[in-house]
Amino acid sequence: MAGSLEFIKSGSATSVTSLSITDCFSADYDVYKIIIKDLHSANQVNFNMRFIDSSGSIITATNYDIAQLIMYSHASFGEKRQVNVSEIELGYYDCDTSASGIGVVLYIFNPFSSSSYSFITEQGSYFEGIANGMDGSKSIAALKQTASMTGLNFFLDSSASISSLKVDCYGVK
Amino acid sequence: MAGNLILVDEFTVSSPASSFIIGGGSAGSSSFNYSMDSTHNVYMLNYQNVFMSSDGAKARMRFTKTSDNSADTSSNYDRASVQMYTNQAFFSGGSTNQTFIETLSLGTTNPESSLGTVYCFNFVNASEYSFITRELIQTTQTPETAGVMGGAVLTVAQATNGIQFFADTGNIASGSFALYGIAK
Repeated sequence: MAGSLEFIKSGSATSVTSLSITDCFSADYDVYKIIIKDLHSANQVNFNMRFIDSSGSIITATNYDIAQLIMYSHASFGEKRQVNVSEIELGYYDCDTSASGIGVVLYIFNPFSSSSYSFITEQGSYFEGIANGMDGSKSIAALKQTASMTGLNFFLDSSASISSLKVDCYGVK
Repeated sequence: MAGNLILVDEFTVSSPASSFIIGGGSAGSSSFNYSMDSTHNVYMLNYQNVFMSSDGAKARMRFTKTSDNSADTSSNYDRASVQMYTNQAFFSGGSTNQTFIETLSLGTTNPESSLGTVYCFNFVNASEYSFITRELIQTTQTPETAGVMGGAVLTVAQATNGIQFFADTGNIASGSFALYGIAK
């Protein structure tokens, strides 16, 4: 019986306001693993994600829900709860040093299906600087549209510039 | 490109059932009769599109014993989890000495379904307890987007070889399940 974690594609960018990973979802897989790394920016803002539909349009409708447990190394844990928002806030980018970066893993379920919502689980680690240490995040999220999605779009709040970002996409077969 | 997940069992609920077993050897609900064994140290279960036949019903879990492939129904399941809601405060809680592993309520119509990932540890080791971690996400029958993050353990030192899903009331109407071994 076949089965494996199969590499689909990578995307990277430097000095951009967003990064789109197109044509990574298809009928070949129901479940995807997305690895996000090497984010750098001179800005301290939220790091966000949206889906891209089969016509190549970024979904900006207020159809996203997210619940996130934020585990601070320097403070009490926090909760983020949002319904009917226009993007998924994955985390807060707060520190730009050559060694900071981030590490985020997403599992995305049924994005290509036109009959079910697209669901996400997230686990991430962000660095807030020497004084504050790190944030860990654990999230669930959904795009509440029964439409076929084929890609992802990543961006910072206020169209802030992304110095660098890398994203790897795998299918769970 | 080859990877490190080896698909060992898969099952799709083709007609509503009160219970079924993924893995579990000859008691398994697929035709593969797969029994978790020492070929892999860790197993991963992915499932999706789980709907119930009754609004508010739950798809609970138990582990199956390698000794006879039946579900362990003893009062030895402990669970701790954070129930994450997008529209209300999270609920952190646990329970001990239960006869099953509890989960959230589901619904009967789209999109009131559940999906998730369960990692299974120490199942094949007869001298240790069987542990899982789980990440579940779903739309409840309300409907609301919610999830469960946490772990559970069967505090019996025995070998286990599969996972039973059963409905607390009525049937599990549909769902697709895939069990993977993680290559050593």
